[in-house]
Amino acid sequence: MKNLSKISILAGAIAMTALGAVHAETRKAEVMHWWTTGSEAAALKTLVDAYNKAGGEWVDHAVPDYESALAAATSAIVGGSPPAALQFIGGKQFTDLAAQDYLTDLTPYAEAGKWADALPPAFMSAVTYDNKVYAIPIDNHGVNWMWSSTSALKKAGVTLPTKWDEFFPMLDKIKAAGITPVAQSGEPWVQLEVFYQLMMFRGDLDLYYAIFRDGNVDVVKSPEFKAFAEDLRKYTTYMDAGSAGLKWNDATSMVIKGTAAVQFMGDWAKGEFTAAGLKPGVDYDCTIGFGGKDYYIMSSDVFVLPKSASAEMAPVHKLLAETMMSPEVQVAFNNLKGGLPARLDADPSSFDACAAKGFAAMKNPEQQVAGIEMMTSSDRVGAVQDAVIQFWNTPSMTSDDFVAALAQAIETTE
Amino acid sequence: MPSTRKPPRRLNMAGIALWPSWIIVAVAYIGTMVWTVGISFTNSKLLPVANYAGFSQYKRLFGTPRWLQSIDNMFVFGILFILICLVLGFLMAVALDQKIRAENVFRTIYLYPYSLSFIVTGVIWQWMMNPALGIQKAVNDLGWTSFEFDWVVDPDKAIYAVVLAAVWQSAGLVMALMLAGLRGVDPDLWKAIRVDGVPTWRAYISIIIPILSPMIVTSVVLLGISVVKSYDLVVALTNGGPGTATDVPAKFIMDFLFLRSNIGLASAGATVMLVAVVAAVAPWVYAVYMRPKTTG
Repeated sequence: MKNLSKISILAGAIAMTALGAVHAETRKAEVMHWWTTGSEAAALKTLVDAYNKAGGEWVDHAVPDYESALAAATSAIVGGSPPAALQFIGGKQFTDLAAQDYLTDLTPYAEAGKWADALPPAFMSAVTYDNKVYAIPIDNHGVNWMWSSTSALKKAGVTLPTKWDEFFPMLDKIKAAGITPVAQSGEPWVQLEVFYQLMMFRGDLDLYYAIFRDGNVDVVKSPEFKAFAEDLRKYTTYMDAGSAGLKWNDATSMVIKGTAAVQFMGDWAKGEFTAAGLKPGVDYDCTIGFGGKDYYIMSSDVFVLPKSASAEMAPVHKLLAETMMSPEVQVAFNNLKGGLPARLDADPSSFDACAAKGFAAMKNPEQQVAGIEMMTSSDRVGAVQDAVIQFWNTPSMTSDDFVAALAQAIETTE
Repeated sequence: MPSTRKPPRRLNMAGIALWPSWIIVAVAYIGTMVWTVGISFTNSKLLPVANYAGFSQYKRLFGTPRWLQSIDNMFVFGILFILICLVLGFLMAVALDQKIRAENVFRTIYLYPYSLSFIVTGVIWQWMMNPALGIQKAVNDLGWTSFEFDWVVDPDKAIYAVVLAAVWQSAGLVMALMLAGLRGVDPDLWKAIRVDGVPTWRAYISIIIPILSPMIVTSVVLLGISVVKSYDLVVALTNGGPGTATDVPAKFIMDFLFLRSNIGLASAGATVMLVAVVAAVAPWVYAVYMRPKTTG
């Protein structure tokens, strides 16, 4: 009798484990991404927990950087064993995969969840290819922020400019006070970023769109662009000598310590200030414009869901789309990551001063500007970057040479 | 008569045992090479596709200033690196060959850098050569304020900074090879040199170096390979910068392969490198290994 009950318990246990396994397997999602730093990993955990709580099973597959992730993901997709979801940058980057029919069409989920009402138009077009939705936008990173050290500005006796013409005179005063005017890293992608960040602060939206959206070479050859190039050259004279060897976060720490006055960097720099225990609006300030239109460049991390041979993936796709697009999940995720939710209807009550400023800009169609990756192939972004860093690092190169190099970069890419 | 009987036919076991490696070579090496060359004639972006695009990738490649500069850099780097390594390595080997005390200690010290990866070497030298926190700052703090050592941030000198770090890493290897060669020199030869009253420097140049020529060839081959695949050191030390001042072909290719989603252009670059290496190595391989030995 005793034996019998033991056996029945055992059988029951086995049956339950098997059932559990079957149940979990239907919602099991392997997710490939490159969020590995401290704040990114903490943010990711909120996403994992939300997915698991909703009845799924998240299988984490982190790859250390964008390049390796792209390599691993492409081989997995082409090899026929793709992960359930895969991180990308919104815009042109995944169109190759969509065009060759490797991605799941998410249009039904987007229609059911009314994504078109919740997302800024630029984001909606960044996840759409050929009138079908292929990606889930999870965050919004504001790219053109200027971070300034309150103590350094005070010491130099200056206030933030209210128009572009006051910018260089302010830097002169800071320099005279013995403080490094701009903290600048030597990384190529940062130099490219400053190139178009300065366009926003100068109000040169036409130049930006001509280069990164339309590929209009005539505009590059215009006098307006030349004037911009001269200002860019002038900007590089305010960095300190060791700038070429700095990483972006080393440059940020100069602003944190107050040895440098300002830095142009995306909103991920806020994580560094927060980690150092500084308060926005008190110890440092964040600015997206000098009193003009205050254009706000947005970029987004997205997830694409590669097509899978098995039909059982449908519930997984549905659950992933619902979890990642949930306003609450996006707020919790981005409060830790330093970005903003991609959805405009998210609850802003938990935002700090800088996040609130960014969210206000994000809601205003006049200020919304699509990030370069949303409009441009990575090939052209790279070619433009090569031209910019060549100009930046070759003091003898004239703005005419720069115009020629940039025009060639645009003409040889598509 | 057993001695004239034909031996029984045997399976050539050695030949059969080699088949798997032949298959691996054919598929994994030659196959992928052919595939890469093929892709370089297409307009593949993120994924390889079979749209024939003629020589357009090559046309773009040789119109790209960054590629031309990376080729330039490879030659500057390669020639300086190999020459300095050979000279320094030889001199260190000669110094150690003077029956000095604690030779083992010195040999270990000289060879130690070679046990590090290029990534570690790159990071160490990046710190040391950074003008704001490395050697320049240390010397300035000691009181010599006009001292300047800012190669790594100067676009005109950055490539020499890469050479410096690479020499520091690899000169010890050349030393070890040369020392082995010097130890192989017959002691009687040295006795003969002394008896004839040949000056020591003359003996090294005219007699010893020719004896060491196999060691020199080995060193050049080993160093040459690290020049062609120089990627990790550049990435860790300067990341190709400032600007594109220290870009090398391997880095160019890697950038376009995934980061810039242009497999076609990356394959064209890789093909050019392959052709260049084959063109450089083939005559030498022929001369050393395949030319019929002349008797004499």
